[in-house]
Amino acid sequence: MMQKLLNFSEKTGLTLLIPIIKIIMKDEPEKQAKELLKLILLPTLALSIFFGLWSLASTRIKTSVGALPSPSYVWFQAKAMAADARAERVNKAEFAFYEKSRAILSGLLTERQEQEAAGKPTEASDAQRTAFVGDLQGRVDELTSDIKILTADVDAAHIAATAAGITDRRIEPYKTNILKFYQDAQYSLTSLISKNTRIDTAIINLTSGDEKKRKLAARKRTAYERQLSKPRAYSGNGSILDYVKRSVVTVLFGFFLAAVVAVPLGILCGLSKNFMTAVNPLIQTLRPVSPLAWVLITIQIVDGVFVGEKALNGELINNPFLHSAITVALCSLWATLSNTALGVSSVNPDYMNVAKVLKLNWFDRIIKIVIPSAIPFIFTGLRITLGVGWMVLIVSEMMATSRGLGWYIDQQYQNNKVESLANIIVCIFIIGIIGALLDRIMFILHKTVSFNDDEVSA
Amino acid sequence: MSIVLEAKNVTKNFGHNGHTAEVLDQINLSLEQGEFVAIVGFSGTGKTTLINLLAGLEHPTSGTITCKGKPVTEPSPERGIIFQNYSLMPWLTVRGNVSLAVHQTRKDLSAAERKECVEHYIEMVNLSASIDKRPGELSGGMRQRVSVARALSMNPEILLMDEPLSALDALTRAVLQDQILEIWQKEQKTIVLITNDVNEGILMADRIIPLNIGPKATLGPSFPVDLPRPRNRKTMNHDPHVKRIRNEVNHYLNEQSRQHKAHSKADAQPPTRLPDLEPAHMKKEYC
Repeated sequence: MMQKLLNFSEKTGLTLLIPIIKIIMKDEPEKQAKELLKLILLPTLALSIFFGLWSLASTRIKTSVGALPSPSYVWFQAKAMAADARAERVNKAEFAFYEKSRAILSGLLTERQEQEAAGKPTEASDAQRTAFVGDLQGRVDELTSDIKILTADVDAAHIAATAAGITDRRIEPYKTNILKFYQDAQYSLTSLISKNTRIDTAIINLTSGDEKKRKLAARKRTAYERQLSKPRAYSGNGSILDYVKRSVVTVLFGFFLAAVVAVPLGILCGLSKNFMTAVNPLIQTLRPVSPLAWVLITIQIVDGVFVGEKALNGELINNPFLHSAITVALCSLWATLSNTALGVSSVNPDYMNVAKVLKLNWFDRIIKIVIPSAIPFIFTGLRITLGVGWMVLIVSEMMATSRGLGWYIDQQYQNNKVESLANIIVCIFIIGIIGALLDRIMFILHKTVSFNDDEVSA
Repeated sequence: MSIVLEAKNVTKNFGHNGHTAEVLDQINLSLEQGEFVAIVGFSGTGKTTLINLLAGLEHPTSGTITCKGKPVTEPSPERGIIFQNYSLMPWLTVRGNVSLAVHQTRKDLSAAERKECVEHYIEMVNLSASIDKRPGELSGGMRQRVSVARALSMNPEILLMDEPLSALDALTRAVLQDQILEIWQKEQKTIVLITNDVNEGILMADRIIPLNIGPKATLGPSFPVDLPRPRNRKTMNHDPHVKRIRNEVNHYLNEQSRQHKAHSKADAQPPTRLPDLEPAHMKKEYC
């Protein structure tokens, strides 16, 4: 079990775990303890120097929007962003609850209409609706009491902050956000209940003796029921989590596009010298082109193809998503292309001798010998492709206004505040960490498909 | 006894336009059904080239090679090769490597029969315990056993072995020698064994043919090893008959070497080794 864990850490390059496991296994514990100390102390030292220099710089350097955010300010902003993300989740849940309630209510009203038309009794459905609205009222009451507590908390925090002389920072970001979202939810649900009440009144008035009153009631009922039947779109801004999710999905999709194009093309290049000679000048010319150039032409082409009714309007899959994913693919596919070509063209001749003795036909030689033996090369290429793709993604999102991390950074830049500058720095760290994680995943994949471990370097 | 493999006046040159390396010259060899022949020579004399010619991986510059009366133009599973460097596919398991050969050469069998066949040959070289391991996890001796199993699984009539045991330690080598002999007797194959070890030839072969030192290497006279089988490695060392054969072969080889040196000095010819000229199929091609 321990040995397995050890193999795993060696395979994944988690060098920090190795001495720990060895100490547990009692394999030269003193030597391993020293090793562990080194593995912890040295990076800590380097990080301390880095943060020290940064702190120093933040006291000296003035940016166009104010002082350069210090590490502690950036950390505070990071926490605030996390709080926003948590609050956003609550907001989404509240919205989903509202939408679900609206749909149920609308469904019950439609049911009643149908029963009326068929001349059936409506008591059961009415009772159901009354009970449901009662539940909604319960939720509103809960919200009201929560709002009361939150308001008190936020007010107290503000008073405390003012006393401590803190004025320029967001105070209790999570509670402030939640308070706003609860108030929105309370308002929406209350309006839902009041619409139902008005419909009920209208239904009673439908049986009134006064003809004018009856007509008005019918009109009102139709209007309110129509309002209730319309779904509402979520109006939240999204949080850092949404941006990260979108960026990762975009880069993976772009990476997929790149692989789908580059691997077969690379195999062709590796197999046929003539094909390689034919396309090589084109490859060499297109490879060094900047993502900024690619993204603009991509935007034009995609918007030309998916235009008007054909425009993609999905929350995730929309035109800007395609712009940035295609740009990622265009800029990053080259590494996979050339590595695949190299792998395919440099198959060990011994393997080809075996293929000849076995009289494998052309197709089987490609499928059973050439491609498997080129797999480590292909994965080297894919690893580079994903790295380049992640780098290109940020700039392409800025240009394509695809709502990922790149777009968010651009938004913050437009805000022109110190707070936004700190947010950008938080994003830089997020981008770096995700990039390192993606590379680690590709590294592990590469190791698993390689027959010779020495070929892969961390 | 019928002749299964025959080389007549075979010459092999590499390169062209004045950079010709004449590797083999006037090779004449005929193998009888079920015979075990060892070809012994110094390294760099063109032994691998000879095996490649017999297999059909290369074509003679002049002369003919025939297998059961038909000229050899391309490799075929009926002449299985065991390569010096094993040449196993590193991405396939032991089972995968052997199945690759079985699937290709035993198309008449059903899937279940093929599976059985694969397991049979792996069992034959005592690797059943490692059937799902990849070559990277195996020792040199185990890898060569996989290579033997793969060659046998093609059900070849002739087995061409290119120094199969020279990279192994003495103990592993002895074990594999016994296994190969056992398989040879059980399966009635014709075997050509290339080796640089005269003792290995005496232990295993029916006759030993020295390959003279190149360039323009030719085959020397055939030394029959008329010893009863099974041969015992330990007692053989003291057997006067064995000593006589060994002395004869060694004497012939040393005489060749001496003559060659004298010849080289007189002609100021390049040394005993082959010029450093890769055969065409060994050259890596990069785009």
